[in-house]
Amino acid sequence: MIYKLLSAIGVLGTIALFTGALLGWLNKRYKKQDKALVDVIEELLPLTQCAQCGYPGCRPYAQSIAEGGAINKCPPGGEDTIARLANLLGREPSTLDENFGQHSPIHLAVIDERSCIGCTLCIQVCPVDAIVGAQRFMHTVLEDHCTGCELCLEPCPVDCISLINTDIQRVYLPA
Amino acid sequence: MNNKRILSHGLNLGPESRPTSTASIMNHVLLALFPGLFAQFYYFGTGYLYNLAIALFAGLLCCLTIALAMTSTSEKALSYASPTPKHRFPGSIARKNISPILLDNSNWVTCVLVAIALPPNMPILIVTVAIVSALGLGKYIYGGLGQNIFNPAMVGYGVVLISFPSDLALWPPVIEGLSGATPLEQLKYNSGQTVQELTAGPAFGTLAGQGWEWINAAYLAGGLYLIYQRIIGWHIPVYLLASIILWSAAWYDMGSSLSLGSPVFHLFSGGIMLGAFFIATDPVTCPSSTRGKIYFGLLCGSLIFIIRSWGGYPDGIAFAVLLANLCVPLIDHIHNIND
Amino acid sequence: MNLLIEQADPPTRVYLAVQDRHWREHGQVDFGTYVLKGSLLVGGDNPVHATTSGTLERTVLRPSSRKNAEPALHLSIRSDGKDQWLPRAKNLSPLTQSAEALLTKIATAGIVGLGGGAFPTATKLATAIRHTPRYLIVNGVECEPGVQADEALMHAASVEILQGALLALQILNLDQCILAIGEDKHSALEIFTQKILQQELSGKIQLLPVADKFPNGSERQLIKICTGTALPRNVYPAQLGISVLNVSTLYAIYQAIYLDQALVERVVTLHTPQSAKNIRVHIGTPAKDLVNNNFPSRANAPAVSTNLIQRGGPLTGWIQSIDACVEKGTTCLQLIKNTVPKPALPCIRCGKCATICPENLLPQELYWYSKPLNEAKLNALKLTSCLTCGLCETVCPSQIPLTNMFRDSQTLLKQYAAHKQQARQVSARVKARTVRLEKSGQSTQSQREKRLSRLRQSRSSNHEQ
Repeated sequence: MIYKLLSAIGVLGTIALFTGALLGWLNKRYKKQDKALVDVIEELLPLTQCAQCGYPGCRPYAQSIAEGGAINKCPPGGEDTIARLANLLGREPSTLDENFGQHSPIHLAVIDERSCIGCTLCIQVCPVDAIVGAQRFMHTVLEDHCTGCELCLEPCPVDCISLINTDIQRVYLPA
Repeated sequence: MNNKRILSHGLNLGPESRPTSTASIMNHVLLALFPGLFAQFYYFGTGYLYNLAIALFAGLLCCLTIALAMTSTSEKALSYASPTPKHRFPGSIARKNISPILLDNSNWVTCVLVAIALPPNMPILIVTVAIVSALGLGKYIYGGLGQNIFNPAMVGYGVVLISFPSDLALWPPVIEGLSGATPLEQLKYNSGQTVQELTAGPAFGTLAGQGWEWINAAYLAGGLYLIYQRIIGWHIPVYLLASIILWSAAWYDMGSSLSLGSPVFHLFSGGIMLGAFFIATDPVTCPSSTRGKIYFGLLCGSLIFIIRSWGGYPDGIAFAVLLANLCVPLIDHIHNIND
Repeated sequence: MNLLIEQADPPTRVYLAVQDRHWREHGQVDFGTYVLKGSLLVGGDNPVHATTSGTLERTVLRPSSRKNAEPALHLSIRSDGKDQWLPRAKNLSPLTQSAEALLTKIATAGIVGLGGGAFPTATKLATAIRHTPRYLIVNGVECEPGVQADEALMHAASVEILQGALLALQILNLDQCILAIGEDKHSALEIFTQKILQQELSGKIQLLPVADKFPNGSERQLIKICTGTALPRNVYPAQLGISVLNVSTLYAIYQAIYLDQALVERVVTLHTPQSAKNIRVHIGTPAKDLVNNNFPSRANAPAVSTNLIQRGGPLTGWIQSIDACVEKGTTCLQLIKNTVPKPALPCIRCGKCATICPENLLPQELYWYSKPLNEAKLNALKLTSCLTCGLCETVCPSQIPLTNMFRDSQTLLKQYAAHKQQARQVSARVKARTVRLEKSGQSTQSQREKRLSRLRQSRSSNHEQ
């Protein structure tokens, strides 16, 4: 009787150990790489850093969404981004909150170098350091890094910054 | 793109890729099942006609019900989508949705497979339960053609095998006056006889069980036809049969009373050829890469032998295939490219 | 279809695709200027030349030649009908020029791969030179049924093509090249055999008949046939020193270097439901004008009433508006009747597509993971090495439109990768800026405090005094 009991425990225990080890190995071998929710949300945003949402950049906005904040504050992303965020987070898609601005295609800032007076005001506000220049020297926009956030338009005292179409279609990651 | 238009431009595709349609693939499968069906009629009599008739009728009713259910849901979806549904006349919607379900012929293949897997002269209840589980539980619950993870016919067969075990053990003797035990059962429950003594008995023919060897040979012929027509690949059947040969050779024990049977006996007993060529090769539920197919075939064959020899059932095609189906996502995950 | 090439008349207007930024930065002429055929309109890396003489009007938005793309910016030129060439240089002696000079010439002539890829040829050759050239393969296979533009050109311009091949050999500093021609093109094979004998080029150009099997004319398959080894995935031929040039590209190289002509015309196979012919077309001709001018409307009135055209061959092509224009990479245009495609049946994973796939991919799995796009899975399944050759779609018993689905997924994957790259860049820059601001904020703060304390000290000392 005892022998039977022990053998049953032994056999089942061995099987359990073996299966556990196998599952553990499989889990390690084929590990799903989990990203923090904030990172996933940030990748879905258009990343213009325009601060139209009221947060100082895209990452803080993503942080607020991850903590349960509204998902309809991003004008550059528009309905598309809202839909993807809703899909990701399992929330109801809502319309864009127009208080934060209207959806428009993303542009590229260009400095008219003939009228630039070299005041460095735009350099200070650019969130991605995409404007180079020095005091009383002409400034210019690094096209590859400009996100089209429009933040540099306001401080310019001579209104020499304009926005142009980029031909580049922004794409958003699948949710 | 229309296949016909490309052909009219003279595209040279080679013999392995004649353009076909899903329905014609299923027709080929039905055609290839014919020799085996004929052999089963020959040895077991009209009981199979009876099985087939009930299975097809139950299948038809089942398809119609599923189609109507899908129609009503899609109609609801339509009415949600637009305030004035375009298709007011229910007949047109019904025709639109039923016709693909009935016309792609895959359901008929499932019904025929269930009917021939069961012993002849099954009660109506059992056949109906098998068909409803096969189509409903095995296929449409996953979303229909191409979406299921288990072989539908084997789901149906497995359900009735568990629910009505005594009825499903009732195989009539191939020759009048013999006991009802199939050769596989005789081998499994042999009472101290060597294989030599056992196969000398009247239930055995030259290779395996009397009658069973011819049924299997007929399914083998049908399977070879499918490979020739490029409907199925050769990897799964070949590796499945190879693994059975290996296992049975390892446990043959030179035909002693403890022997589990010779490789030839195993190849021509029970539903092995039907399983190898028609069930395990179901493209929906087998891995897609070539290496994955090899693993799948080996796994199926091993499971069949293990269930036959040490399991509770005399034959194990259904459970072996279902268990192997379970492993397909893992196999696909590991080998997802043909390199 | 006969193999004569008809010369198309210049259309009333040509539309040349141009990028807004390129036009802004490298535009050479102003609107309203009279330009001649071959004059440079936009400089830079992707030069655009006027393809007929006339007045440069303005930029307009027209359907793009790419699949599913938004309307793109085009320069419109109103033709004066004279089709007058820009004065061209004479007495060129290319054999004494350096490889760099010839490459510059090819680049400024705006030559791209004319087999359909439209990749800049000069870049391709320069990459091969950087990686030590090993092979030059001239591609005259043209295996897609229904496309005969290259075959027609091989008939009409065999000598020029051979000269072009010699130029490419000179640029790459190689001794020998392989001229691969489809086995079914008997007359082209004959012509080239003769011409090679006549010009005593058999030491330099080796003629190789290639089996008439689709897609043997694709770059990667052809390299496998010619060199015997398959390219590893994700490696460009040029990285291994292998250059594959289409015969019509070589013809364009010949024209650029010997005749000083920019790439302004190409041969296109034009199919209507009734007939088909090969036409030498001004690049930028709208497909509608091309059909109307070359098939008088009374002969086939019903055909022109359609508003769709298929760009590319019957397997690899995609359907778009008839208002789209002929571009440098357009090999074939086909009028399509406005028919609703047959609905696809579900995939039964029969595996026919996997058997026929020339790149050994698993289209049934790619299809499954394309429906809701699964980036990780598609990358693991090597979607990027799909040639979009269309064979899987042809053999699919369920008639699933796989090719275009894969083409779309490929575009999306590329865009996602670019977006991810950009996201990484942006967040790095934002982070760097925040750190910098914090630091400078701290330093100004501490400086201010120091100054304050010094002030306080001096004040207190003043009081004491």
